[in-house]
Amino acid sequence: MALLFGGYLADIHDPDVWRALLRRHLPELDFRTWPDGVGDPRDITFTLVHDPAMGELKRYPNLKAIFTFGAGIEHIMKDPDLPAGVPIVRLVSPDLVDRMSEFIIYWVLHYHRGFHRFSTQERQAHWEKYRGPTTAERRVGILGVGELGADAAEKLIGFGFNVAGWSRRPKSIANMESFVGGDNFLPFLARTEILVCLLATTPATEGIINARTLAALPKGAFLINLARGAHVVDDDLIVAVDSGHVAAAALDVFHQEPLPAAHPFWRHPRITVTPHAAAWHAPEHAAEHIVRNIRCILDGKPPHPVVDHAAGY
Amino acid sequence: MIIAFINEEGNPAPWRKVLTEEVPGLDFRVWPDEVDDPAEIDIAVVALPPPGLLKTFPNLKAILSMWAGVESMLRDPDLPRNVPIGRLVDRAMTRDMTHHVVHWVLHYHRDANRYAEQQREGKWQSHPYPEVAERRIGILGLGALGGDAACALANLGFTVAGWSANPKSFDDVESFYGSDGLIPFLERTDILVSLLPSTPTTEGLINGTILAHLPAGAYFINVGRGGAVVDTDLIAALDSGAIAGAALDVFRTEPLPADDPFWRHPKVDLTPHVASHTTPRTAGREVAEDIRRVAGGGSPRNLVDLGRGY
Repeated sequence: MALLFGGYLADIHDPDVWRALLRRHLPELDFRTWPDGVGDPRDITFTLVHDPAMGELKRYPNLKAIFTFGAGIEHIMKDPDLPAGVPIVRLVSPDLVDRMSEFIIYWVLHYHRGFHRFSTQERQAHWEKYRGPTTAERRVGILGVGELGADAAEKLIGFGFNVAGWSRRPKSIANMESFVGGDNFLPFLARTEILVCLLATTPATEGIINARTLAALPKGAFLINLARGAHVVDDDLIVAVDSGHVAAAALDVFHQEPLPAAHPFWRHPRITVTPHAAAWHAPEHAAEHIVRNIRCILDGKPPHPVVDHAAGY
Repeated sequence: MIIAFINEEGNPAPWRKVLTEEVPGLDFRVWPDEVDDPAEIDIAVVALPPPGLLKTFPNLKAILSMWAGVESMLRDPDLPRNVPIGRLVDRAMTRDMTHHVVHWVLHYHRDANRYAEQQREGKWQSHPYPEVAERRIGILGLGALGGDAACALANLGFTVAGWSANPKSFDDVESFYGSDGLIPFLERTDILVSLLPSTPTTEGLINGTILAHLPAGAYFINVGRGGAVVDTDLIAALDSGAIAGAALDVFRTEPLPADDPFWRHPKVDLTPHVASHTTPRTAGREVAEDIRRVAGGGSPRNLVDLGRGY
C-alpha cells in the first residue's frame, strides 16, 4: 500500500508535514513523492496529487482511489485517460466547509453593511453614515448549492438574510428559495443583490458570469466568486463594475493563478483580489479525512464524497 | 396619554406614525413647537435632551430613551431622580451590532488587511491561519448586546469569553467578572471587543496598562463608547505593534475631527458610528410597548439604574 503525493503549493503542502500526519494515523503507509520518488508504479494504490499531467494517473495499474487537495476536481476530470472505475475522493471536510462559510459570511456582511464605502471614506477623512436595508430585506443568492453552498446558505439564513440558491437539481434547505435549472437562472439573478458563486467547474459553467447574466442582476449588485475563475468573463465583469451596474466584486479565483501582474483586477478600486485563500485545509484535518477514506476502501466500503463522473462534480 | 418627542436632530414623522399606530389615542407632541404646557406631558420620549430640560416637566410618569446609550442624559445634574427611565433594547439594533462585531472579528481572523496590502503590491501569497476554535475572542461588557455578539461568535466556533461587573451565564461563553477577573480575561484574549457603555467607572478604562495585558499582536474592536479608551495609549500600542490592528466605530468627539490621528493611522479601520442605529420602524414598537405599560400603571422594561449609570 503506497500513497503518491505531489503538492503544488510548497509552503502549505509540505511533503514532510503530510508524511508525518498520514503516518501518525496509518503507520504502515508507504509515502512516496512525485515525480522523483515514485518507484515501481505498480506499488501505488492511492494518489494525492494536485493537477497531475494528462495521462499520469493511468500509469498506476493498482490504483484504488484518487484523492484531491481541494473541493474542485476539474484538473483531474479533464484527463482523457483518467482510469475508469477508480473513485475520485474530494477533500471536503467539515473544516473546509466551515472555513469557506466564514469567508462568505465575511464578504456578505462587508457589502451588506457598506464597509467598502467606509474604507474609501477613511482615506478621505470623511464621516458619513450609511444605512442600507435590513438583513431580512437583503437578498443573497448562492450559485451552486453543494456541500459548501448549503452550509453557507444555512448560516446566512441564521444571520437573518433572505437567501435563495440556484442548482441543477432541486435542493431543500429550510427558508431558502430554491431555483432549479437553466430556465430559472435569470429569475434567480434578477432577485439577487449579493451573488455568491460556488459552482463546480464543468464545460456548462464556463463563462456563465458574463455580460448578459450580469445585466440580469439588479443595479448595484455585488459578486463574490470563490469557486473557479473560469466561470467569469473577466472583461465583462470589468465593464459591469466600471458602469456601476455591479457595485463591487470580491474575487478569490482566476483564470490563471497566480493572477498575472498585468491583470486589471489587481488595480481596480472596486475589485478585491485574494490569492485563492477562501478556504484552506489544515493538513491535520485533511489527513484525517484521507486516512478515514483509505480505511473505508481497505474494509471494502465506499469512500465519501466521491465524484459523480457523469455530472462532472 | 400625552407624550413629548424630544430629539432635535431626529425626524419626528416616522416616530409619530409608528407610535400613534401602535398606541391608539396617543397624543404625540413634538418639543418645543407643540408643547405649550409642560404639565400636560405624561411621558418624554428622548434622544439627547438638553440638560435641565426634563426637570421642567412636573408630571412625568416615565422617560423613554430612543437610544441604547443613556450616559449623556445621566450627566444632566437636574435630571429628575424619581422618574423611571427606560433604555431602548431593540432586537434589530442588537442584530446590527452583532453583525458589525462578527464582520470585524472575521476581518482580523482572516487577515483581510494583509491581503489588501498584498493587492496594492500585486503580491500573490496565501497564509495559513488558525481554526476558529484556536482564536480567543473577549467581549468587554457582557450585557444584552455583548451577550448576543458572544453567542453568535461561539456559534461560528470561536472560543469566546466575556467580562462584566457581575457574573453572566451564556452558553459556550466563559464569564469573567469584577476587577479580579479583568486581567485573566485580557491575558487569554486575541481579539478584544469593547461594548462598554460610557460611565464614570469605564472612563479611560482601556489604557496602556490594560492593553499591555493582551497577548502581543492582539486586535481591538471598539463599538461601545469612545470615552472608554485612552486614545494616545491605543495609538502607542498600535505603533509599537503590541496591538496589530483596531476597528473603531466610536470616538470621544463625533464626528471625528478631520485632524484626528485615527483617520490616517495605517492600523486603524474606522467607521462613523454605524455599528447599530435606531430605526423608528423597529425601535418604535419597543417604545410603544413601554408607553402601553406606563399607561397601564407599570414601568418601562429596561430600567436605567442611576447608581450603576446604565
